[in-house]
Amino acid sequence: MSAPVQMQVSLGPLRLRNPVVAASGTFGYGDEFAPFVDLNRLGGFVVKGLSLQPRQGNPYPRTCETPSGMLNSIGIQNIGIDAFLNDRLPRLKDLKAAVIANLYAESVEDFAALAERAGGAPGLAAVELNLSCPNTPMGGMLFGTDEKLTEQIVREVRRRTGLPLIVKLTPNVTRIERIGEAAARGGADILSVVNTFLGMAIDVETRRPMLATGSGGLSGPAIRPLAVHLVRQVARGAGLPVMGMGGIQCAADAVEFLLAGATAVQVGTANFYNPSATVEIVDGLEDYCRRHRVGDIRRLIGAVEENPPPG
Amino acid sequence: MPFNQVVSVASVRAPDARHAEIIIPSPEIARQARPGQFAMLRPEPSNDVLLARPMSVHAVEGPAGAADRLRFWIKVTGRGTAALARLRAGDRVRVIGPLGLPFELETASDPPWLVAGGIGVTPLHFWAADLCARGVRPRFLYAARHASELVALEDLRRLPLDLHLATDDGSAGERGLAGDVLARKIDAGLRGSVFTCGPEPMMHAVARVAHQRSVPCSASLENRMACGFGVCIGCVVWRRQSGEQTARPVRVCVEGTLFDCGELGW
Repeated sequence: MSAPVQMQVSLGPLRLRNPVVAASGTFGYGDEFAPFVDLNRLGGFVVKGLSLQPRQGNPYPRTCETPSGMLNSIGIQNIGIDAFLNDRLPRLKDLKAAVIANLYAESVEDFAALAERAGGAPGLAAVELNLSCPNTPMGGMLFGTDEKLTEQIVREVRRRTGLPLIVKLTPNVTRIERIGEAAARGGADILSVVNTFLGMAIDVETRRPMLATGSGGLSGPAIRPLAVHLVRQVARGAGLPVMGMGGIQCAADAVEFLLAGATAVQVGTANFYNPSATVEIVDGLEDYCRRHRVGDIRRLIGAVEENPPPG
Repeated sequence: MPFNQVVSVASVRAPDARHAEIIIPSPEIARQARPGQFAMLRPEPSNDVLLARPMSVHAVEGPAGAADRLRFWIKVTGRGTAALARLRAGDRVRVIGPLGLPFELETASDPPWLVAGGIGVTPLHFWAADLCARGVRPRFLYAARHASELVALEDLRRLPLDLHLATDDGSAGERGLAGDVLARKIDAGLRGSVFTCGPEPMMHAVARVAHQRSVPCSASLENRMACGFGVCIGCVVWRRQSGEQTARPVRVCVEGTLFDCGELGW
């Protein structure tokens, strides 16, 4: 087939030129990757999590490698939403790639304030809510593990912005579909599945955790099967389009997530050890579609054929 | 501007089980690399050992004016360095670089002291070669636990610098720790701004010696890096610059690797 593959996808109100999006925390504020990729070739990228005030983040060490993966406990060090909107976003406004702001807060009020600021910012294609953060006023309980809090925060944000609203789900819950449904009730347009898994590594020579904070978030190829499973769960349930992520390194990995039901994918950790990964995956997806005579990439979404039941 | 390339290893030489000298061809990176800069290296493909590892450029080589390859020294200290040390000529490796800020020397009346501990010799060797080529004759203190760790000795002997050796056990050069040996030499009148790279306890000791003698001291740090180019924000060190009330986290990979020891609070 010599005809070009149709690569555009729509996740509710968010239209992307292709399904490949760089994940928050792995792509800086965009321009850091200019030496390695043509940003215009991506479907989009999610900038580093933005909080109301700049944050310094956690003590060092903040990262460690684990088998086929890594743990991180960066602590959302970021320049703060105002610095991003005033200094960084204007540099990105001519991009064809969708620029998505990831928002981090530790109270419902702060999420609302972030939504006010980001809500109408010119050049932003969508906002993504990071609910895998401790709810400081309520003693550190993670927002994203509680259906009611999730719905409440999404509702407060929904009222303050007309931008496509993505909710990033934490997998550290028993029934992720229920959190997804709560986000949908609150008015979310899209679900990101999944954030990192809680994990820990211990240095047996020093007998101390490898990360200063003890535990952190596990990402990378090791989590891919876990993430594919959860994407399938959520995509079958919540009724909202899903951005799937978890250890995607190459086009074949991305296809797994599309087949499981994701409409788009996010590529995260792979950017660290191959800063060209996102564009290579875009090229690889086109190549896969040509080889399989798929003229429109949307044909792959949810197209996994379940194995027949035994007997 | 850094490059991201996958190339074939040109050669690997292992003088002992814990060290490997690896030559990687890359005209683009070799031509741009400046002393103090590093590259992120990773065998390709690699899954279990996922992340690339930061390796200082020890030397660039090639025809005059057309450097085409990079030389690195690997000391095996864990899974990642073990994987790199197992590479053989022809194996594929990913190299991302040059990264980090190049070392700079303000003009000074005294020649600088380059104080290298063990595998910390690599960035200082590259810098020494560059300084010598520009007519500066640095003093170079190369220290290690034992003579077998002085892997860059032949390279340093070929340079017109003032070479001093020290080993903990006296198996080569003077017997003593880097900080103690440096103290004796500065007290004997050999003063000069100190630039050091090596194990952290050694660099701390060197910084204390320099501080006590009112000699400026900078350290080239190596923190755990997931990316090496400023995006993961994992490799931070806390630095308080003059005029600032408190220390702030800065990234070793893009705001270093060299930092003033006083600003680190050492």
